[in-house]
Amino acid sequence: MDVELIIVASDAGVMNARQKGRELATTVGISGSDLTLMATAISEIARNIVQYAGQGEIEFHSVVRGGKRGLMIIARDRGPGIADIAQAMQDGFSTSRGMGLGLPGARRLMDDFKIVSEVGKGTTILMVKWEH
Amino acid sequence: MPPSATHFPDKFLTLAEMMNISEQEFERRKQYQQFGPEDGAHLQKLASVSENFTYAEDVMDSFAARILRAITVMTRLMGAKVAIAGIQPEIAFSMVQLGLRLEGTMTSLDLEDGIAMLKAADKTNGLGNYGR
Repeated sequence: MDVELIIVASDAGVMNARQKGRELATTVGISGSDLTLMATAISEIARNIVQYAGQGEIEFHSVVRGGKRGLMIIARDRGPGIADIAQAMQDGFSTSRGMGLGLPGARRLMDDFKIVSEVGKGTTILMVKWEH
Repeated sequence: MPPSATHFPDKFLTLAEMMNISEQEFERRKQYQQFGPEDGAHLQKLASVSENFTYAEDVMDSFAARILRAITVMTRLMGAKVAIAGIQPEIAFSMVQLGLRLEGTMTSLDLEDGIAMLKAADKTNGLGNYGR
């Protein structure tokens, strides 16, 4: 696997992204509860894309670091962007009627997590789950 | 099982909206505990949404948790007691990581335990060991 891309624009897209993530994660040695943790994180960020940007894409890359394989997930959208990332990463903060757990939750569910965003341009989230 | 288009609500409804009554009417009924059979019909509609929902979902993200919570709260408003049974270990793990809580809701390992809890709750205040 080199790169796989899923377009996310609806609830069906959220589900596709999650299932593609599960499928690819098993090929890089991720298993058991890690699969569920990762799928939950994908679900959160994919739903964010649908809710805030309407449409976006999620890329899956297989990566290796220090002899360990992992799955890198890059979620991109050209939505409104996030003005205050520190605030958005706090538990319980939401600009919609959500519970405000999506971003901080996704960070806890994954091993590596990075978010870049510019107001008016969009948001990119990069996250990795490593095999044990 | 290819998950076909699951129908999700376009927006998050308040309990009053789910029951198709005004907020004032909802407050009034809540105050006097006047929920009738027609409210039950609306609840049933909601439950059928949730049925589709569990069919398609393999994770419990914050969106799914919000729907579960709405169903729980609404069921309780009708005077019923609620126990959630059979959450798989890895799902429970990811819920904790995500920061999801089911405060005040009885949870059990399996259906049998759940029913036992509900029966025990009958003898107390309807909340089992919770909410005291």
